[in-house]
Amino acid sequence: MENITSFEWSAVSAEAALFCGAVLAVLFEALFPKRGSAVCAFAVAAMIAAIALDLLAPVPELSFGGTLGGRGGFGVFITACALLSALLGFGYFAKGGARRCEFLAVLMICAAALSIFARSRNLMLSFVALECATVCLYVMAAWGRSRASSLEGAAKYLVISGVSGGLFLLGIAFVYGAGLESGVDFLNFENFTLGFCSVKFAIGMLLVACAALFKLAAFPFQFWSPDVYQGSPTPVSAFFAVGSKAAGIVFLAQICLAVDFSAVPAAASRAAFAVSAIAALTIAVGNLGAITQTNAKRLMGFSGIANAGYLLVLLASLIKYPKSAELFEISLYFYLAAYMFANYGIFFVINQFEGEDDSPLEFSDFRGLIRKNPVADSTLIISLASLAGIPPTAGFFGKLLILILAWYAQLYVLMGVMIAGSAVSIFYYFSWMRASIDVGAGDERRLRDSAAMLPTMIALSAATLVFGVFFFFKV
Amino acid sequence: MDILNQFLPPALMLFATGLLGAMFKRNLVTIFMCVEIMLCGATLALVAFAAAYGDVSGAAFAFFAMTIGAAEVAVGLAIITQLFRVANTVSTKNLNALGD
Repeated sequence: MENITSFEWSAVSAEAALFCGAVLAVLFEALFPKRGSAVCAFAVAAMIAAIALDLLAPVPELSFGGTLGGRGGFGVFITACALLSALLGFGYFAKGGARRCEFLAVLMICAAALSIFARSRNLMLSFVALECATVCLYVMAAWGRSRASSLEGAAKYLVISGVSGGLFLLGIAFVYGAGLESGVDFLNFENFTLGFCSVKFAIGMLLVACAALFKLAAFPFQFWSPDVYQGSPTPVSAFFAVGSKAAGIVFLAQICLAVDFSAVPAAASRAAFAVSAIAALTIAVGNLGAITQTNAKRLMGFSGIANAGYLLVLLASLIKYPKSAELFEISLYFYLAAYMFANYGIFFVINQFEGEDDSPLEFSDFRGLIRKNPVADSTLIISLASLAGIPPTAGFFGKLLILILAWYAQLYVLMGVMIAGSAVSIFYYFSWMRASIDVGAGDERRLRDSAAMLPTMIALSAATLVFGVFFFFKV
Repeated sequence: MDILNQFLPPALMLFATGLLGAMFKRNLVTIFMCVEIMLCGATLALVAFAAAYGDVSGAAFAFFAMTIGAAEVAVGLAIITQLFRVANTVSTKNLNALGD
């Protein structure tokens, strides 16, 4: 019973800042309905405070009776995503005006829950945190509640996410049962290595992995993502693309780091094969689906699937070659940061177009962007180049790190698939770029008056350019 | 052990019923009910294990799962109701605002 009294609240200070900030923001908005901007500023301040706490406050390696792990880089990452989505929201909701603060509150709760999800060292905590984040994501996906496209995306996400939640819960039941059978608490990550002798445990972990693959939008569970990205309001699509995906891969990575694969060689080789196969199929499905795509936000959905595949290559190399754990974590966060800069850069540009519904936005709508808004267009080009993996950008170095790890793990076929996928991706990213530098006609869609968004776009593209070179030479 | 034999098969059958319904039904409300049946099946499996081995943590966790399910239903039904108002349908056959 010592577990219950050993609450170390300082271990969750950043998440608490986000959560309390969200609750207070809603309260303040109800009390002072005319001070919307001040409440939004308060919410943003709470997010910045959470990032500062994430960076500065010391955290024990294990807390809350061993269910919560150390910090890692994910807290900062997810809060930065929330902050960028909040900035996008200021542009997006400028016309409607109302409900901005509530959006920030839901976003912050979601970020806090995802942060706990990535840090949890116990499957029960993982489930509760994941479902808390998922309910917030339902609400955010349906934020454009007068548009059928947003609601349809939200309804699809609701059903598919509900199914994955059910799989997760059944998985937990099996792992729990296996643990009771053998008298070891298998729900705890540190006992995972012992569990592989039990069939029930293996079934349970398979179901849990399915739920994580769903969050990641990886192969058998990828079909929701283009629809949801297209239908959701742009700030939410961006959060889905970066935050939710990153949470899935970080969770899988925590599981794989907890298992000592050298002790269970048979399970390790099977897991490596399964992850490799899923990675290859995910890369193929994402890139092939993207080729014929001309809708901007749908393309981002397929691009997200392809990137989930690249992240799974990283995971497969970790399972095959567990000694690379340290380089794995660096590469994972490097790739995620590069992906965040590029994705948010693109979504900031998409957000420049006027009107609340940007789900039908086609490549042809980007024609003449270079003349209308050169800063936005250069951000778009730099970010697309980063996603395609063109050399001076962060995306190139991220992919290079993944390939190096795959080389160590001798996953040569997977490296081939990844390189082929990247080559195909150049084709569709470049056709988008070509449309945007075309100075011809096609000016029907007007741009927002967007002086406030320009500094962020410049910062994101600068980060894409500088971050890659700088960080790569420090590794 | 006897408890496990009595309760695990029905739990899995509930889960399978829900999964099949969620995959093959056309009405969003029905699909959503099927998703909840899946959750019920999984919760029952959890409780069955807890009862069979006399451990309370699984039974306690079932309450967490039910609370989460309730939150999901509240938000989910709101989304489906609003979708019906805007699109005037809850059949997956007629939902085609998104796509190519």
